[in-house]
Amino acid sequence: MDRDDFASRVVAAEPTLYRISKSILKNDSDCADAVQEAITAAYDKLPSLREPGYFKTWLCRILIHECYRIYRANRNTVSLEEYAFPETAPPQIRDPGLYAAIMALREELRLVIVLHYVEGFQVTEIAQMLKIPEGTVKSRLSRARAELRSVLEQKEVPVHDA
Amino acid sequence: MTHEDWDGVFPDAPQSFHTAVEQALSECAPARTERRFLMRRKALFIAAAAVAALCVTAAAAYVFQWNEFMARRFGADPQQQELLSSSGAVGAPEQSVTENGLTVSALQTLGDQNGVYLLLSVKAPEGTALTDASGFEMLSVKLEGSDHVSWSGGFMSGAAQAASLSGADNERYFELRLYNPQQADWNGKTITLDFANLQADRGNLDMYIVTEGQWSLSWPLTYTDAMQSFTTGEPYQVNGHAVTVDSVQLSPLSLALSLSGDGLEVLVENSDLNEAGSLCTVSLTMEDGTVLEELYGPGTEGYADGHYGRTTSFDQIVDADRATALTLTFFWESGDNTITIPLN
Repeated sequence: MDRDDFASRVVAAEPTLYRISKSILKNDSDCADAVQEAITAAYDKLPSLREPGYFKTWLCRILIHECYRIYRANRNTVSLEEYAFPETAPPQIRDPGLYAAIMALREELRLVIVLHYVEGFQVTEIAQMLKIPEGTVKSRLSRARAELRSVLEQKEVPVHDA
Repeated sequence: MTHEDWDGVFPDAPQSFHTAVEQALSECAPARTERRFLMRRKALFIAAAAVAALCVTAAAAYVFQWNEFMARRFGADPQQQELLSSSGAVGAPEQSVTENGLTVSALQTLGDQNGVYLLLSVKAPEGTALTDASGFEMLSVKLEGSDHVSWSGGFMSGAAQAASLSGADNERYFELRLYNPQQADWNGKTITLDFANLQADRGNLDMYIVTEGQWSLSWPLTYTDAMQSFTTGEPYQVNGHAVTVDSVQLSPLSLALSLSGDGLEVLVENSDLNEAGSLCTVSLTMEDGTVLEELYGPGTEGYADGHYGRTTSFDQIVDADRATALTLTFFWESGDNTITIPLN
């Protein structure tokens, strides 16, 4: 994979990269830092990518690691952005109640919900991405679904039918 | 529920994020990748061959016929099936319960000291489709003599044709993994599974009960004792951090690993083990040079009081007797991040 191919794949994955980083870090400036670090690290590690077909999964995995690194570093601090502009549902989203409920989940549950439902990754892919067993992914999805339902019912936010 | 149901649930990336992506890409120098690309080593990922580790006379024990799906699931050829079956690794609970037209059946089990895989099937009433999003409102797993059993599992994912024997949309395999990191003696202990209320999803997690009822299955577990122990106690360096490999155990179905050392805490901190990830990947080198890469199957992994413990159940049967080395890659260390442990 040459640089141009790498760049075009990264650009194509940008929406996914944002949603994943947002699901872990919440803060947009931290998301930007994480994606920059992830892209640089991915480019550096590119020779270790054995199968180009797995590029997106592989890149997401690197991003997740960068997000956790920033998350740990920021654990005891609140950014000015969060302090001055606490997280609210942006105006363009379709279902503010569902978005708020997802963002209220514990991080490990929020991440699998985003990867599976929002991004459409299969359980197997998520397991590979997070390097955890498929059963653990399923369990987290199950817990996340139950918690989301509970939160949505408490808030009496209507849920969409398929 | 489809992926499209979630369109618009998350906001679009802001300009600041887009700018960050562009900036990072602009800083990627073209020459670097192309030069390193030539150095890429060809990786091997081949399923294991025979299970010679289990030196048990086939005639000495009753040989279960493997469930076709389980054989495919674990990539077990006829010879492996016979060896594992005759060694006692395979159990056939042959339990089934029906209520309100829904049948839950326990088909077969496969296990060793690190854990047991349970294969079940669920057949819902005609017209009730079982999908990736189906689930039971409650599932309780109890084991005789144990206060708590760690487990994971659910309906098989994927197309109905791959997830059920018949391909009918009201039938689907259901699999469970029981984890036994303490290697307690579960042989002969009664396992009890209690299921309640089958649920489906209208979309966006709008779960509702499609079949009410309670289904209970109970039978004594059986599995094999096939672990080979490699106690090394050897010191290693990972990116300048001292690690001691206290022990390695290996069977055709799983491995167990124990680490300690002064540098371990830093490696754990640098990893995402405490969030949602893993400390390292493991791979096995076989005597013919074949490398079984990244064996991140189901299992347990944790760090406490200076000790790291891990059990990993393989998704494919491994010829443990032919393994010559275990390689650990601490993949988020920037350099010198691999240690290779001889198995002899």
